[in-house]
Amino acid sequence: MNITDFSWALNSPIISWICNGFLVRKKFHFPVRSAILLIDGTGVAVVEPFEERGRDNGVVFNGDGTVRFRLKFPLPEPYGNCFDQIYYVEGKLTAFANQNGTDFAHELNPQTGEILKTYESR
Amino acid sequence: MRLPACFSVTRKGKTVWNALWSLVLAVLFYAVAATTFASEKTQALEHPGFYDEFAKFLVAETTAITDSSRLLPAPSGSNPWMPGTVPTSFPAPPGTMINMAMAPGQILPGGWATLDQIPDVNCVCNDLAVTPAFKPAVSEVQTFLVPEVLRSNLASSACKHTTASFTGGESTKSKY
Repeated sequence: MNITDFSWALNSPIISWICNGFLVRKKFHFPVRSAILLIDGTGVAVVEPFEERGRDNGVVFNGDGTVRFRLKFPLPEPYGNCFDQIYYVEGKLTAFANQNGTDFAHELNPQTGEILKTYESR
Repeated sequence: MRLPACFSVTRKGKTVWNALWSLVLAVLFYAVAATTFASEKTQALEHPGFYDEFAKFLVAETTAITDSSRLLPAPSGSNPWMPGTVPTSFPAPPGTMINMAMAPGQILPGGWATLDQIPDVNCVCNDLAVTPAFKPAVSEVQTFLVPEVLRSNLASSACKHTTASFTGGESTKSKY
């Protein structure tokens, strides 16, 4: 289930890709904060708009568009903001979140969403 | 149509009656409110430990948070500022240009930037607060234009460069 033609532009509310000949399209009302194709080409990691998804706005989609896992914001209300962006840091899928004024990086297992490591990011 | 004289008298009477009732209610309300505030003030003055006792009551009624998922992350313990310096909080005016070290794949700004020029990766890793522990990989520097007044903290970093916090704006990007 490999993804091809992944498409997302900065500040765009639309993400699209082709998987097994089918076009998958995710459309939001607000700009998507961050979206990347997983290295193995089997899914797409997205930080959805806070305005629509709230604090648990980090998600990885499978190639067919189904949700593989959704990240839960590490702190309870009212602490912290939301997930900010997601990208690979030295080959490791890492989600970034602002927690009480400090950015923290959360290294993820791309298959399960388990947080493997957390460190302050600047 | 002209109303009978008796009807007019009745309306006037009701108006006066309502006004009197309003006056009585206002006086009662003022009296009750004044008594309440006066008793609180008296209680606090007559019992200097009133608020302390109240605070103890709150503590006794509050249970400590033991759920690790609710605990805030521990501080990194790495002071980004030069020892002895105190960051200055100031509103960065629109048009302020700041430089930020970006990681490969990073598209949105982080929370740390500098007003100085960033010539190379060595400067980022050795002279700025963005040491490898906080940003393992650095690929490029991005210049951001502060679009509107933005509260920032400014001071010298652990070595020699000034650092500031900000949110994004228009930007230019240059590769190392």
